[in-house]
Amino acid sequence: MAGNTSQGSEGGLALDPMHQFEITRIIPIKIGGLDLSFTNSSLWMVITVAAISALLLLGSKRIVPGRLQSVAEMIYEFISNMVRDTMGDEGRKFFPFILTLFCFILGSNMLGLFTLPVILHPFTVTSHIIVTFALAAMVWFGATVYGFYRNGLGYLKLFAPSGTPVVMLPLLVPIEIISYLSRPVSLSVRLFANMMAGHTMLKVFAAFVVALGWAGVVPLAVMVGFTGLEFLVAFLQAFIFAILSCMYINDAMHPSH
Amino acid sequence: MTGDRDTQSPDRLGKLEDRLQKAQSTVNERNRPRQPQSNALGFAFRITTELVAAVVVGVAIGWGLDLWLNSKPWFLIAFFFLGVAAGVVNVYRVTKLSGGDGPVPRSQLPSVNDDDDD
Repeated sequence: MAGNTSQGSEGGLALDPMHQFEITRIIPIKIGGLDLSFTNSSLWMVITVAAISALLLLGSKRIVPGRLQSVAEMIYEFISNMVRDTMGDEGRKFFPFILTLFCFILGSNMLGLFTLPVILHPFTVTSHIIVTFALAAMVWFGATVYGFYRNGLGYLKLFAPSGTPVVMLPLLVPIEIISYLSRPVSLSVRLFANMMAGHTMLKVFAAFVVALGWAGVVPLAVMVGFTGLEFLVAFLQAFIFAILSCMYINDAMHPSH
Repeated sequence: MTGDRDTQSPDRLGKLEDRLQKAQSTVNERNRPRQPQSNALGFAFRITTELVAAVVVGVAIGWGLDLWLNSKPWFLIAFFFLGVAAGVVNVYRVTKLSGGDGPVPRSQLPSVNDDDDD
């Protein structure tokens, strides 16, 4: 892969598309044996939360909305409709959670796409699997606990679809359990892989622009298209994460398929 | 003023009816269940992750059980196949949910059998 070119050793172009994913400690903090440093990842999480909060809370509340207010209202309505479509009126109580989840993922996906001056390297929080896995595990664990809280042991019916012959149960129950356990894995891998692949591709093509000299116009044109596509992917992945979370919570409310 | 309004009232009512209908249709449009997938590539990728994730989880469980019970490699083999089966179940559910190309959900099939085809 092009990314393996060692940095600056040939005096030529330093091409290191994975550099953007490196974690650097900004404020080192050590408590016990744990490294709880404030890293660039933490910094961008804070920036994401701040930006989203500012957009949703501090925006103007005029009757005729401006641009930013429109964005905030569109996000709110979009998620509100999605929650109603997937979970019905019962799902209203999960609306704040889903909205927060969607905004955080969308915010970090989008902010990672912006390029800022050298002091503040853009960092995509969601391009690290541990972050997406933490989010997915939180949704999965929460839905499971809620499922048992609401349905008691009846929640286990999820693993034995109604109408199954008893003979098939020893085979079907493990399959259903594996399927259930694979939810947080696929949920997190999907988001992480999309973000990481997209950002790596952007960096690789961006390096081609410099490397090819005047012929760099061609990858530059491609870059424009890719950047647009990445914005679409950033939105789509946040949406898929949110809608799948809705479906999992809906399963927790109504365990019979 | 009042008389003016009276003469125009059927027309105005009709207009109101139109506007009501338009508003209702936008509301219906908004409430219509959406297709989660809008592009084929994303959909393909989604199916792949569902399949792979289930296999990975199956293998992990089998491997863990083997380590615990010292029964290499039987649980690994068994859970690998269970994982594959779970992956296929996942993929089936994804295609069923997204509608369109996938099989029709059982609940949406007509309850009366029409024997035209068979």
